[in-house]
Parts: sequence; C-alpha cells; structure tokens
Amino acid sequence: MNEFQNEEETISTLSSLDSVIFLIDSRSSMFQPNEYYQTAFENSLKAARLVMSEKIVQGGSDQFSICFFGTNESKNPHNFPSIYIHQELDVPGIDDIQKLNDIQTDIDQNFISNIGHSTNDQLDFSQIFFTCSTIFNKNTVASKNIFGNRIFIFTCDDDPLKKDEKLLKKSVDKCKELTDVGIEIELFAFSGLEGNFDHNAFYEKIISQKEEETENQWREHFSEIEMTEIDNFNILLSKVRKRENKKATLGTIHLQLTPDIEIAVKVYSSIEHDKKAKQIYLDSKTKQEVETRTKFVEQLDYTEQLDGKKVVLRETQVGQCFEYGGSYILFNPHEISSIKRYGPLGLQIFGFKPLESLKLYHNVGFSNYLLPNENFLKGSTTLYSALYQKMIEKKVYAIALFKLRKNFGLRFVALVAKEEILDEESEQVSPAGIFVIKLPFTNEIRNIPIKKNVEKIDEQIVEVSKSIIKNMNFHFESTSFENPELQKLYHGLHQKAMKINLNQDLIQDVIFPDWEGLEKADDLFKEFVDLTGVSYQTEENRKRNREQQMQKKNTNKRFYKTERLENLKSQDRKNKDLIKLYTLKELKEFLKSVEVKFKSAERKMSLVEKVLEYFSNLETNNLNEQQNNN
Amino acid sequence: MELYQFIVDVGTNATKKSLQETKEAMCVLVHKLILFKQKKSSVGIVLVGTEESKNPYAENYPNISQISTIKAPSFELISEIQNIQLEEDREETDIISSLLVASALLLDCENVMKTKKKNLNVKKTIYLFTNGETEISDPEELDVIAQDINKYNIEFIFILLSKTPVEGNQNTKSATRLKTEHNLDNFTTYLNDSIILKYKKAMKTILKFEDKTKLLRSTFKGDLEIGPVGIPIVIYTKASKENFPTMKKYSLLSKEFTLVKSERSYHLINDPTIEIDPNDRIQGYKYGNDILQFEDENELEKLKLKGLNRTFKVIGFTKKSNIIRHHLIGGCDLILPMSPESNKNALGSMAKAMHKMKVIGITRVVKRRNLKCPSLCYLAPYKDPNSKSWVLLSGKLPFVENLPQYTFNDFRAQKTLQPNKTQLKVIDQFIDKFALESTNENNKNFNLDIENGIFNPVTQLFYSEILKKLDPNLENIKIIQNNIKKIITSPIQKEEESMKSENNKNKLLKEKGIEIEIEKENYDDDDDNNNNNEKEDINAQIRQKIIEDLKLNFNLKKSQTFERKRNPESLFAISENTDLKIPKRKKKNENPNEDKQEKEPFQKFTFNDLVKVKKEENSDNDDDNLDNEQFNNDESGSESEDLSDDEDNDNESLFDLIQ
Repeated sequence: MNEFQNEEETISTLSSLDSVIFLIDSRSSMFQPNEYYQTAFENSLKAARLVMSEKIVQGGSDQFSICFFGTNESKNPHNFPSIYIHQELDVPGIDDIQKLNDIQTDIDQNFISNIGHSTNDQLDFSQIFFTCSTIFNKNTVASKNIFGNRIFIFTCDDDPLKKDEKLLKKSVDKCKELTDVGIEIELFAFSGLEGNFDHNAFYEKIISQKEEETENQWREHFSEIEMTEIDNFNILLSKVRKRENKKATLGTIHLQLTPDIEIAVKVYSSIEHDKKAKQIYLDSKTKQEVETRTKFVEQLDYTEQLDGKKVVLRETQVGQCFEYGGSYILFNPHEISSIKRYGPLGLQIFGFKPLESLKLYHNVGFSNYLLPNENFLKGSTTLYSALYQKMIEKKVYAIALFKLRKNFGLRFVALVAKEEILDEESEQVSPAGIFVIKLPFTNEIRNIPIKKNVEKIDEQIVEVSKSIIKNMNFHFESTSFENPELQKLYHGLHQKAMKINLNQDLIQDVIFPDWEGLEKADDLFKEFVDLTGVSYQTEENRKRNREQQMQKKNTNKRFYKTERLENLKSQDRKNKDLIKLYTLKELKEFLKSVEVKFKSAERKMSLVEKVLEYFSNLETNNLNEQQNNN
Repeated sequence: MELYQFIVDVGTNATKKSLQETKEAMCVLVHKLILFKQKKSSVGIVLVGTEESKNPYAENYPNISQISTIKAPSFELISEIQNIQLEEDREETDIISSLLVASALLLDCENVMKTKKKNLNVKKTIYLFTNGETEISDPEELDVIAQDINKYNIEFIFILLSKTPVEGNQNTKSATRLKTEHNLDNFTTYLNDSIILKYKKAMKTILKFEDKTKLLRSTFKGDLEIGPVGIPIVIYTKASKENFPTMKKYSLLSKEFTLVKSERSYHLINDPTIEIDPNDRIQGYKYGNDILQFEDENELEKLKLKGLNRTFKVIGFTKKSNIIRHHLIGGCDLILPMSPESNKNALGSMAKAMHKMKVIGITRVVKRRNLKCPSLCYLAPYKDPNSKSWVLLSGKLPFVENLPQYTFNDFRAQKTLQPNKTQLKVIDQFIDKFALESTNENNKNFNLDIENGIFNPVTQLFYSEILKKLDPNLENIKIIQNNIKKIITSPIQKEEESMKSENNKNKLLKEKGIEIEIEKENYDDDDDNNNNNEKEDINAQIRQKIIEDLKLNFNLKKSQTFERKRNPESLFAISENTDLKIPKRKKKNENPNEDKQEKEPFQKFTFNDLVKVKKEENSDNDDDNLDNEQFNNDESGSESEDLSDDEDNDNESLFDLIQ
C-alpha cells in the first residue's frame, strides 16, 4: 500500500551514497592571489566547505574527506612526507565545517604556521594515491554502503612530478589500481602563474586511464575543463557541485518497439524532490535520537477481558480489507500485491502521435529521462539515436506503457525527443534525448464545462493586453527562482549549527514582479481597466485591504478565542469530553495563561490531562483555603 | 440522485439460463453503483411471474413481487440478487403490468425524497430483463400506455436475454420471441426514452468499469493579478494523479473479523528496549553527523517561511520556448472567469493576446493562507474545443533545487554507434506505419486516446477482483479482466499475436478438414467492416515487413545480466485462489527455485483458461457458449491441447486471445 502511494518518494531515497576526497594542493603557488584577490587555495577550500554544508542541510549522507598535499607537516597512516589528512572520510558534522571555516578566515595563522608549505616542489603522486586508497579502504570496512568513490584534485601545477619518468610510471600504475576498483579521479585545474594549465604534461595520463568504451565520452568531458580555466570562484563552485552530484539512475529497463525488438535504457529522474535535512525527535532527558516504530494491534472490544493485554501482530499477520457497501471485502497481502504488480515491466511502445496532440494538461507526476545502456544490450544506442533523430524530424511523440519497478503502478507515458538546452553561460539545463512524460488516465482528467462567453473578444482589448505583455516580458529559465522555504530552512540550520546570528531578512521570498517596470506601464493597465471594468488596485491598496480584512477576521477570532478561553475556565471542570473539544492551540494558550509547563511536541491528550490536573489542583487548593478560613 | 428499478422475469417461461444471465448483469450493475455512486443512487428489485403478489398495487397488478425496496446499493443487495430462485409455482409473466408497477414505485420513492429536499434532481431508470418467451398482452394498447408513462420522465432499458433454443434448430428464434421483439420494438417507438439491448451487447457496456464521478469544486477564488489589474477568476483542477483505493487492515490471526489499528511507539535508537513517552520528545534536525536540538518552539518557527497571503500574481511573461515541457511538475489547473457575463471577457482577451504573442505567464501562487511555500506556476492560454472560448491553464514549475545538478554526456558522442541511412529509413517507416490515430475507426487497434476510456488498469483489476470475491462463479469476470488486459497490450503486439493465432487456427482447421468459410459466416457484428478489414490486412502485412526490416537492420544483442533482470513472472500474474493464506517469510539462504514454488498461488492464466475466454468472445451468436460444461478444463482431445503444443511459452500465448 505504502509502496504504491509513495512511488515518487521511494525513487528519491534510492539515490546512492557517495564518498569524496578533496585533494588540495598546498604548495606556495596555490597561495598567489588572482585578479579577484582570491587565492586558489582559499577558493578550493571554500568550495569544499560550501559543497559539504550544502549536502548536509539537504539531508545527504555523503562522506567527505579533506587531504592536503605538498605540506610541510605530514599526517597520514604511512608517514609519507608532505601529505596531511585534515579530515577523515566520514559524514561531516558541525566541527568539521567549523574547522574549515577557521582555516579559511585566517589562513596565515591556522594553516601556514601550523601545516605550512613543503619546500620540495616535486611530489610523489603514487604516495598520494596510496594514501587515498587507504582512506577509502578504512571506510569500506566500517560500512558497506558505498557506491561511488571519487577523488577531486585541486591544483595549479601542471607538472608536479617535474618530468621524472620513474615517478610518472609509479604514479600511473598506482592510479590504474584505483580506477580498476571503480574510483574516479576528477581534476579542477587553476591557471598558474606561468599562464595556461597544460593537461598533457601529467594529468591527462592519469585521468585518461578509463575503460575503452567510455573513452570517447571521457575525452570530451575532459576537454570541457580544459577550455575554461577556473579562476572565478562561482564557476568553480558550480563545477564542483555538478561533479559532486553523481548521476543516479533509477534502473535499467527495456524499451520495447515490438514484442521481439527491444533496447535497454537507463532511467533518470529529470526533476527531483525537495531535499531537506532529516527532521528527528530526541529524548528530552538523554538527548538521544528517538525512532518511531509502528506496531499493529487488534481492535478488540474485549481487550479489557484479556487483562488489558493487546494482541500485537506481525506485519505478515495483517491483511487488507476494502469497505464495500456496508461490508468488508477481505484480501490477503499476497492478493493485493499481485494486483498492484499487474502488468509488464519496462516500456512498451504503442504507436506514434503528432506532437500537437500532446496537451499541456497531459502531465501527472515527475518526468524521467532515458539514455541507452549499451552494456546491457548491444545496439541500444544506435536504435535509440535513430528513434530520437526521426521523432524530432517528424515532430511526433510515442505513446508507451511504463512500469519502472515491480511494485510501481502502470502508466501511459509520452516519449518526447528533445534537443539539448543550454543556459546563457552555456551550462546544460536539459540534455538531448528522449523524455518520459507521464500521462493521466481518463478518470484523472476532469471535464469541466466551460460556459460560452456572451460577448465576443474585443480586438481592442486584445491589443492593449498585447502591449501589457510586452511591458512585462522577461527572460525566464528553469533556474531563475530559488525555493524560499528551503532556503530559509537551509540558512536557519546553518546558523544554528555555526552559532552565528545572520540577519534573517537576508533570505527573502523574491517571487514577485518587477514593481518599477510595472509603474511605467501604468497607463496601459488603466486603459485595460477602463475597457473591461475589472478592478484596479495598487499593491499598497491590496495590502491595506488585506490587512483590514485580516483585522476584521482577527477581531472576530480574538473575540471568539477569548470567549472560548473564558468558557474553558468556567467549564465543568471534570468533564474530559468537553475539554477535548478545544483545539491544540487553544489548550496550549490556556496552559500558558495559567503558567503550566508543557513541551513543544506534546500531544493533545496529554495537554487535556494537564488541564484536568490543573483544575483538580485548583479545586483542592480552594477547598484547603476554605478549610483554612473556617 | 439516480433511482434504478430492476424487473426480473421469473414466470413460467423463464429458464435457469435466463435467470443466471439476469443475475450476472444485475450483480455487475449493482457492483458498479456501490463502487462509484454509492451515496448518489438507490436500487429496487421487482420479480414478475411469482405466485405471490407482494406489491402496494397488488389489487390491480397481481403476480408481481417487490423483493427489495428502493434503497442504497449494498453488499446485502448483491446477496439478495444471488438468492433469487425459480420457484416451482410460477405464473404467466405480464411485462407491461410489471413496468407500470415499477414506474409507480419509482415515483413514490421520488416523492418521498422530494419532501426532504425540494430541488433534488432525480434520474429514474428501469431495467427489464426478459427472454421474450412470453407474449405481451394487448399489444394494441401499447401506444396508450406509453403516453401515460411518458409523463414521468423514466428511462427504459429492455435487455433481451439469450434466446431459448427451439428443439431441433439451435439458431432459430421461437415464434413468441419474434412477436415479443416486434412488440417491444413498437413500444420503444412510443416511449420517449428507451432502448432495447441484446444481452451480449448490453454486457459489453455493463462490463466496462469506469471510475468515481468527482464533484467539481473550485480550489481558488480570487483575482488574477496582472500589475494593478485584478481579473476575478475561479480555479478548478483539470488533471491530477489518483491513488489506489484506500483500504483498512484486519487481523489474519483471529478467527473472527477484527480490524487492526496501527499504534506508534517511540524508542531510543541506541537502546530500542527503552520506550519514550511521546510527550517527552523534543524536535531536532540532523546536521551531517551531528544533531541540532530545537527545544524552543520559537526557534523552530524561525526556520519556516511565514506570513504568506493568498495570491495569484503574474510575475511576468516569457517566450513559450523558455518553458521546458519535461520540467513541469504533475497536475494542471483550469482558470475560468468568475462570471463570464461581466468584464467584457477580460480573461479571454488576455489569453488570446498571449496565444498570439506565443508567450506564457509566470505566476506566484499561494492558494491557501499560511501555506508553507509559494509555488511557481506557468500560465498558458487554452482554447476549449467545445465552447471555443479562451481560458487559461496553470501548473507548477520547478525551483532550482528541484533540477538535477549534473550534466549528461551526449549519447551521440560515440560516432561508431550512430545509425546509418538505411537504419534511419526503417525507423522513418516504422513511425509512419505505426501512427496512432484517434479518428481512424477502421483500425480498432491503432487508435488510442487517453482522454477516452483509458482507465487505470490496476484499479480496474482491483474492482474486478472484488466482484470475483462476491461470487467466484460469475463467468463475466474473465471478460472484464480480458478487457483490462487489452488496454495494456500494445497494438503492435496485438496485431502480431492475432496474425499468429490466425495462422494457427487456419492450420488446425485445415488439418481437421473444416473449411474456413464457415467460421467467417458467424461474424455477425463485423459484417459492415469487411472492406476495411481487407485494407487493414494489407496494412498489417506492410507493418510486418517493417518489423522484419527492423530486425534485420538493427543487430540487437542481449547481455546475460539484462536477461536476468527481466522477470516475466510478473506479467499478468493474477491471484487465482481466494483462500486466505499467510505468506511465509523469505529466508536468506533459500534456494531461488524454492522461492518460485512459494509463489504458486498466483497462477498465471493457463492456456486452457485462455481458450475458454477466447471462445466466449468469438461466439458472436446470440447463443452463449458460456456454459462451463462445454469448456471445462478437460485436457483430452480438445483443440486447446493442440494449440498449446504449438506455443513454446505459455506467457506468449496470452496474447492470442486479443484479436
């Protein structure tokens, strides 16, 4: 049941765990300020910190480690020189972020004097890689939940080995060992003092140690970095972010053209759910984390006869029933799951339709993105590519039946081919390929009768509307707006963790029109109002009206509230049922007013008990007083 | 409100078979009413031809018994229907009197209802089930009677059950049946609102499940704010995702039926034996490895966005191409003007202007006060195809946080894997020939319109399983489940399978020396489509050729891992047994083969079952071959065995029945 309803949720929680080592070059060349007065070292550190803290507030459980190389001091299990493990591989906590912040705010004091630069400019990369593999290995023993291990190298030196053939061979061998176990190495290169960063000198030899199949893709990806040397911090940050988030596929399924002809496709989600840090409960005494367990209890009328013992059932001892015409139809768990698993797995193409017939409202749920999986089925890419090209050329989409996993519901989908979309900075907004748009069933589309308009559309009004639209035109991108709710939560958590008081107003809801631009078009709006007779209100007017309405409501409410509170005070004080009728808020307010303490997560029933207790105390007090008086 | 009155013929000429058919039809009808219109409908049942005369108008109309007064459809009603039997003492059926009694009962009920609520809109329907073996008395007076009944606005549905075979010849109708058919035909011409349906045809529509009718309720009423301009609007939901029907839990342990409640308890993660009182908890957030405690409620409040007002505000307009279709978040709203008469169609003009300029609005939407977060929505012009008026559509857009943060490599980067010209040409033909046209009536397979008759197959299956639980002997369940299967089978597959089965059938028939033409004569319904069928055959052949081309040109090789991943076992697995069995828990070290055995309760449709269903559908005669005896699972000497030998895989043969 739950599996079925939370279809989308299950998808989002399936994203894999990652572990990343930030390998930061700490030789003096990294400390030269660039034209923005930023040093490469500072930028790398900042990027690492921001990416880490971002992941944390988003509730990710990725593991990070920070390791400096080319240092004066050394700290590593093998006592290699010039390698300093600053942070062991783990899910970072408050302290880790704080430490990085400290280093960054005062590099001279916290880094140079403590750790310092190495005097030797030549590095033994095989030792560095060996340290990395130890860091990863240590971790895999502790937990097996690791999918992607990656090393991010931040450096501005294109030839750290100084053309030593022996060292080069050693390093390349060691690197091959790493890539063989699936560890990926990414390079973030800064242009050094001497100008451009020469990838051929050393790094290409490490990073091109990839499997043959993906070599082509890799080279392209590699040249992408080559073109833009990362000097600007923001570019660096976005690049680290993009590399940090690993593409997690939801699985590989088959796309069936006919019963005999099928290809393998990987499914990705093209929209993600809101990512939030996990909200938890703690025991107020021990401050330890509390978990919620659900148990199934028989609703028996005769529980009291059984000495108040509840019959607790296991999950397998519970069946589901459907309320039906005053009776219950019983299903055992097997039956329900077999109904829900109904239908063939994968994607079956039913046929093709012209793109115009795909209406805007033909859209339920989040869409997915498909990519061919050549490893599973040879020839997939060719057919996928042909299908993609022809669907774009002929302006058609395919209707298909989609079932991603066994326990997911069936759905008709539209397979739409889309070309790549880039933003102004030529960063990818949406990749080229075939997208899965989920279509509603007939019962999910409502037929809303639309009355025919009495008056025909007046072309004059249309013209005015057109000029209004022209005035309010702006360039929108899917990346234009941030979610104010999430941003507020992220900042709030960050603040609490770092124990700093930022101005809360920094995070503002900015989803508003450009007021100044609107003022310029005021005449047009007035003309539109004159022609149509709709209402004209400036934003201030609206605000005032709203406030007035709210005040009215509030005064009513307040009156109502105080009345109810008064009632509560004069209530038949032992009547539990009557007190139950009050809302949680009202009970809390009442308890506050009589100075009875309660906890934030306290439940209504316990509040009711407290109110009762308060009244009974009051009564005994009164009685005592009376007795004393007597 | 919808009122239904069923009239069941149990008179001297009724047969067991006719009663069985009546029961099935009524069962499915009531089942649908319970599922979809329980609170909006009432049903009553009248038997005609009984010895007793239990009805308020018995003085004038004897031998008619009201066994169930008009009441809300319920589980009991279904068992009442199942309990109807043919008594030994029966009387002659008087159809016309039964219609009059039923109408009178409906009117009485309507009057009672209207005393409670005056402006109630009542729809009255009478279903009459008869095998037509009893003559209608006084056929000359039918027009007079019809005139009387017409006053009451009642819809009549006459369902002619399968004919009773005349001795000697299976296919001819008895003289009385012909007469009754003629008389009923006459009667319908006099009546305002009536229809005669033959049982098979009627069942086709009756067996189609739909879904609940939903109330139209606006989700927002207020102004569409464009700068200082406020256009009054109402918002309705146009499309939204629906979930599986909600269910309750019951105990499999106790002998009596007991509902199960889920109770929550709170334990320390480090030591689960310690239970924590829910009131002793405080809230917190995970911050990486650490935990942030929020003991003060005010501190928690600071994390939330507050003071949002209800609003529907346009932020600006942007080019249509800036909205990425696959970035839309599910669901869609329809925006209508509050009162279409006033404001000189301000909303329509705005929508038309937007359409002409090819722009889409971006809006800030807060539908209710004190929501947690404003949503970002698009605003698109939409021309309603029925009323031809311009309105607006709106739906959610993602925020930056919802977009995946990674870049994909281009799949076209690997030049060696790109298609060549012939491969492209084949795909080109494939797309052309496999076009789905909703208007193409010639080709039943290749028209699919999601706005028409495509209901959620899983929910439909669930509803049919309920029906099966009510009466496992109902023969029509197979047909229902087949209809569901038809929906989710791709037309390409249907065609291929039907061609295969056609070939098989022809081969078989030839072997047995039966000429194929005899078979063809039996197709009653599809006579008109003969010409189209020929065209279709040619098209189908072309399609088959394209499929062959595809196979030739694209060399697709499966890897072993992929094969393992697919599980054909889940295809069309429907539970067959109705007994309650507690499933065993899987053990880790268990042999995978044993696993399969455990799952056996979910039998696949065996081939014999399929043949049975197929037969039922093929027989387009009025005569029904639904009898179990004829198609029992007897394995000896039937066609089914021969057929199943031809098929290697049971699973594949499933599609045989789809024609």
